[in-house]
Amino acid sequence: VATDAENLRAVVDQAIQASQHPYWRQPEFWIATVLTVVGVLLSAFAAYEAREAKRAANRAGRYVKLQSVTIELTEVAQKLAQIEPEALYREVRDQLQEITRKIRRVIAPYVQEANLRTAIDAVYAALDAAQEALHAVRPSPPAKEGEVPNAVYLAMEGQFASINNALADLIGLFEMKTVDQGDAHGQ
Amino acid sequence: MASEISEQIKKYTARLVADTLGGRVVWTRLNPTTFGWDSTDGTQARVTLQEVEVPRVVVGPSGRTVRQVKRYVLQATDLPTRQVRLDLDSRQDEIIHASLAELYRAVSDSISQRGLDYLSSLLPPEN
Repeated sequence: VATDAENLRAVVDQAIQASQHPYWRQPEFWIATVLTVVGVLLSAFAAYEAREAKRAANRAGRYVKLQSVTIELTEVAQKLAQIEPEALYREVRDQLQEITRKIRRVIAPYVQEANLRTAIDAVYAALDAAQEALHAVRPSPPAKEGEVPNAVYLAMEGQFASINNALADLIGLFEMKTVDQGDAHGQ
Repeated sequence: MASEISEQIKKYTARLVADTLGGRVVWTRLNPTTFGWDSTDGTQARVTLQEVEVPRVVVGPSGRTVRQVKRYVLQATDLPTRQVRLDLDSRQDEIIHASLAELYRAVSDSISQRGLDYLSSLLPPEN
């Protein structure tokens, strides 16, 4: 019985002693707390950096894409300037189909962008007008094509120039977007 | 000088209009917007008349728009040499434009009339 009482006393003494020296007053508590806070801060910083890296990668991707769009449209514009006075109907038809397909493919991802919509609509309108103009010189019958000097050239020269002008406006806007993206990418 | 030439062109196209409507000059359609006439009296030549639509940028209250403007090209080719001897564009001046537009209408009407006459000849007689 005496031993139990002594044990109980010892436990009570320890409890009293512990209550007089709380854990938060001990250096171990503060070391652990500081380490935990530093760990949380480092994790948050790492997550922020990862998110920023992803954004930068997206911006870089858009920048490269815009550059390739600009280059492709410039190539098309150069091709449009190559129509020859002796061009035959089927040659111009094939050329117009190729150009139309390429332009539509390249600018399709941007048709919903508000600041490009007017310029893109102008390009589509110029392509439609060129298609109409080409239809207006479709030889009937085809064997008679050679009887009309430069008929296809006369019909298409202005239309190709119109596509080129509309395309030049659009290329200018894409170049400006490329500069903006480049600045953002640089930052 | 330029107006003198324009007046001459006006005179010649007026003659062509009259000959076309009178059936002395017979044109054929070479494509939807081009007509041709082969002259075989004396000099062998081919005359072609083409209507061309050209885009023009117009700035109005609603902004910049593109309109299709008509122009006409009259060419005469010497058949033995295949050389283009006359190349007339209605862009040159208003008188030429009006003359060629009138000729184009006359040619178009005469061809339509020939087509209608042919259709009429196919129809069974009316009872």
